[in-house]
Amino acid sequence: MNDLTIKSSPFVNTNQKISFLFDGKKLSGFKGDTIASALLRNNINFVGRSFKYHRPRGIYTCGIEEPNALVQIISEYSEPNTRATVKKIYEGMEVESQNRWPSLELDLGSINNLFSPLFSAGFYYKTFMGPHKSFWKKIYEPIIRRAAGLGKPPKEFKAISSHLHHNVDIVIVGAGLNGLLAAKSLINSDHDILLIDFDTHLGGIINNSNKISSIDNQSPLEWVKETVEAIEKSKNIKILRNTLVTTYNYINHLIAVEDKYVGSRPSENKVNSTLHKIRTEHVILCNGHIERFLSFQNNDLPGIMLASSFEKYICRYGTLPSKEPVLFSNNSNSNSLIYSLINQGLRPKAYIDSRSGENIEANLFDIIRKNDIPLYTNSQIKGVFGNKRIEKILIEDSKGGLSEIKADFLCVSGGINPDVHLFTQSKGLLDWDEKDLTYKPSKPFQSTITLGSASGQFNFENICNEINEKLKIFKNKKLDTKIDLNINTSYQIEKLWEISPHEPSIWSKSFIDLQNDVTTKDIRQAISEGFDRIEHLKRYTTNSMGTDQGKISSINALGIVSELLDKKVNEVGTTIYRPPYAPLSFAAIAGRNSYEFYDPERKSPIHQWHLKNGAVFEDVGQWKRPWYFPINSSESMHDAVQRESKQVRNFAGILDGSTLGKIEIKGKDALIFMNLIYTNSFSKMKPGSARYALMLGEDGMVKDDGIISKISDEHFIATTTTGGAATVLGCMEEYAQTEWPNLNVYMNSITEQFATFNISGPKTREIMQKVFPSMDFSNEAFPFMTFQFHNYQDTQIRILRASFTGEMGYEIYVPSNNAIKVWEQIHSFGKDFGLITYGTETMHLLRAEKGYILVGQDTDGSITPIDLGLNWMIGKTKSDFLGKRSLTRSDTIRTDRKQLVGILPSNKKERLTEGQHIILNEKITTPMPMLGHITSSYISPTLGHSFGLAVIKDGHKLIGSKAFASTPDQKTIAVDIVKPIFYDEENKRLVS
Amino acid sequence: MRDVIRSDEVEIKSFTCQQIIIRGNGNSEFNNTLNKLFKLLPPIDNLRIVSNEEIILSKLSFDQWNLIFTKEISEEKIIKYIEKLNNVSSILATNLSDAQIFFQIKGRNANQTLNKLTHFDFREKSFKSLTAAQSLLARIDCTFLKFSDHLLIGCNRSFGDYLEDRLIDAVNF
Repeated sequence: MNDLTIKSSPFVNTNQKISFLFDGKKLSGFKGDTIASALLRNNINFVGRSFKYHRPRGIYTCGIEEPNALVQIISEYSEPNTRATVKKIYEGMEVESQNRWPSLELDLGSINNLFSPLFSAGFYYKTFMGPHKSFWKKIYEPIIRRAAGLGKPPKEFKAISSHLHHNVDIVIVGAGLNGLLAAKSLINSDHDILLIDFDTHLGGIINNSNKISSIDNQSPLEWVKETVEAIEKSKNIKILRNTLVTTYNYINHLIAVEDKYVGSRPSENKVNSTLHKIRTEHVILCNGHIERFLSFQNNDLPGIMLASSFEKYICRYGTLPSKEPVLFSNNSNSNSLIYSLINQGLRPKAYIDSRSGENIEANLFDIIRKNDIPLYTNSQIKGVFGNKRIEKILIEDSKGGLSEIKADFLCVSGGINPDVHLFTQSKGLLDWDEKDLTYKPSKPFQSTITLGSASGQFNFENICNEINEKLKIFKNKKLDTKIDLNINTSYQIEKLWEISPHEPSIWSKSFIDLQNDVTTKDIRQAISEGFDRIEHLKRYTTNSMGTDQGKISSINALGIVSELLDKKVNEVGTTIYRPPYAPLSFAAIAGRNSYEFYDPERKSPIHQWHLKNGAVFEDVGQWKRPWYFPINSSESMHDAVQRESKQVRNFAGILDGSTLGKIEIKGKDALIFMNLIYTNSFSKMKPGSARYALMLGEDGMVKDDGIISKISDEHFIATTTTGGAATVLGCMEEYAQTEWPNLNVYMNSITEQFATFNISGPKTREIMQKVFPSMDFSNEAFPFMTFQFHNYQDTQIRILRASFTGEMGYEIYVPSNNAIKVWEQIHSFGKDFGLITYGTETMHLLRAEKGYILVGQDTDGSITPIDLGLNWMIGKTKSDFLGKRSLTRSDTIRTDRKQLVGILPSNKKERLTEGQHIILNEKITTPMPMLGHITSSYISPTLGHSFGLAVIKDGHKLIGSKAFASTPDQKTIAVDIVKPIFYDEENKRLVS
Repeated sequence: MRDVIRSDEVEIKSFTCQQIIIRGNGNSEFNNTLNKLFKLLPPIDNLRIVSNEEIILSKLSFDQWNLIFTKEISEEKIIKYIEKLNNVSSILATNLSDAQIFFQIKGRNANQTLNKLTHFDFREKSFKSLTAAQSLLARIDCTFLKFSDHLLIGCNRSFGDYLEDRLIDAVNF
């Protein structure tokens, strides 16, 4: 390991050794190393297999643009497709290479490479078409999916992440030289600023290269340290390190992901990553540039790396990928690599430049001559050759002469592009720069400013002027920073998109997209087949797709396409850069809205009592409602419900009905309003009385039901279903404000103000009399469907005589703060009368015995009051009400609509199930016409058998006839269609 | 007030308080009625707060006001206030003293803590003192009442435990 470690980098601690596993082999690196830098330190470059052909692949870059070195982090919930060039190592980290079986060295999938001449662009689309269409789904797709792909999806979803929202005035993306200068100029201004960088160490190119010799006469690293300290001390700038901006949405909304455990093992119970959701007024993009590669024969062999990445490994990580690399370039950006190598006492094995001698910078020539570096000008690499690593390089000079160099490493540079992903995500427009051969930001669509190489300014002279000019809208401090360079050159480049091979072979390839195994030949073929639009071509060839989104290659593809089509690159255009900039995990997206916080929970005011008394809860919307109360852990739900319902029928039971929606309605026109909202008429109701009411939609279908209590003509209280509370209030508000604004009426939700207790059963009156001794609960004083206010201890309660069980009962409305007191009081007095607490399941059983519907269970948005047999609830003399017109439509008055009926099994030992289809034939044939289905079914301890409610076609006429209920195992049960009421049809118990 | 969580950077307390929600048209009869009862003219602009030593009165929408009693009064008195307000036919006053849970949050990291649960901009430059807002916090409807040194967050009482858990989680994570 040591001979490739050159010096102690300020960013890597060579005193702290870190051990990690790569494909089961124990290796070591230093604190601060990425997986890639540590592997290179161990002289390992072959790290993965390619997507389609399973060709050996090495480390190509030193950053987020990496197309090849994707690994699976076994020690982090087996996170796949992690870029080895970014992920830092930590003690005990376990890493595996991907897309190979059984091992990286011996991968059976590499047989694909032998058949590669067959796998041209559009191979799948053309090949797997027959003999029958089912072959694709059943045979081809599973095989292709198994053979192709990158990492394996993790088996467990464990990572914990949090979301954090920010509201700021300015976001600076990238804390390299330009980002730091921009932030420095805005220190202690009135703007709230976020400075975001993907790295732990700010400084960007200052840390990653030897381009800059001094800043303001300080060493560059010293300048960075001072500047960062000044920014950190400022009152208005916050720095987010290890944070990648992945998305730039409309209205300056950015998404960024922060890795909280860089260089250490993520905690199992603390947040691993934070997803920052940022809303800002302005965005300053200082996210730099990306170097391109070059396409030539076998340009994917391990041992090939981008030139600037090689330099970054030296400067940033203090490791040498190779001591004697060959350098191949068509531009001046790679010059500083030569300087960096010389600086380490090394020299490239050769320097190959496609430019002619007169176009190469004079100072580069000086260095090359002085250090006796073999120079090939006006030359190109025709191909590289080797097995799992490059061994030799074939060079062609301008006259066509060939020469061969033995080398184990090649650095390439095909030019640089501004990193325009975020700018284009923001819908900013790009323009092709013919001189620099790249797309550059042109017109921002939002309030976006680009600085430095992100804006296409590749030279250092104008940095301060650009910042001063572009940031003057923020009244920033004027900068006059002096930047000195080690190699003083302006950016120059010569066009070079692709080099044709010397001896074409059907197996050797010139790749244009390394991650997706797309070759230049594929591009040619796609165009010859008519895919000459860049978006079509992208999809046909999969060029620029994948996790790297073609960061190092997409411009090259555009260059090749433009030449093939004989068009300017500007005419070819670019594909759309879509978010995210780099992949982010589902855990990061989910945030804390998972597990216990998956859905907000609502609890009744006496929830703790239910917990203490062993309630089993069910979710009703967001409410936690007691479902049943088992007397011990061995009592099943069925047994508990049977017991609870018998007790209510014979003695008394109480239900926590606090979740019921409650709305107070008041105003001079409240009566008119209520008559318009509900089907019933409330005009003749006496104050102090109540009425069961139906609310319809405009389509005439039942939307909700409840009990309306009339305090006066100007004041009502309505109850709604639990799930319908918000909808009903919203509907009332909407109609009051938009349809009938002339009415003087207001409504408030009082759902949360009052707990509701539903007590019912033959012993109820006696219990109530005990709890509220000053009240008269006799039939005469307190008849059915009336209510009374009552001052109880320190509060005022309302008691409504109503029942949802069919037994004599009351609903008690208690202010929530006093709920537990009253609840316990009732229990204390009720004990002697056999009072029990029952849950929602028993309530459903009891109400179904009585034939009371449950909106949403026995109705489904297509049921009218007439279908339910509730014609009596329609105020026929009312001039209008919501849904009235629809009740006279031809379809609504059809007599063969699905209507509510009761269902009993002919053999009382048989059991009905909700959802069963009601059919007329005993034997099931297909297709089987169905009459309808069972909406509610229970086993009644009172009746001694199963029963159900159903909605069936022409149901009302079919009452008294026989039918069948289908079972899941294709059998049928003979059933009798009966009236939808099974208990106390005369309401004797209700009004007793 | 009950301490929910307290650290050097953020302090959260929860409490219930007596309050009346008032619907009306904001006309002179409305203003006079409120002024006579509470010695306070209701705010005219939406989402503004006026207050005195005993009352916080905020206008939550074009026809809705929220009256919070900062000092406890008897329930009897509340009922009387409501009766008097409801005597005006164009006013609906409802006692919501038991319907909501309030959280008082303050401290250097108060905004950051809340911004783990909502995108709402709590900075003074965007959300000024003595203004109110209604928005989602941890995916539930909440009312925010901003004061110079603290923020009051009101939510339906049924969500109280959930929101408290989310606030504690937001501080700890």
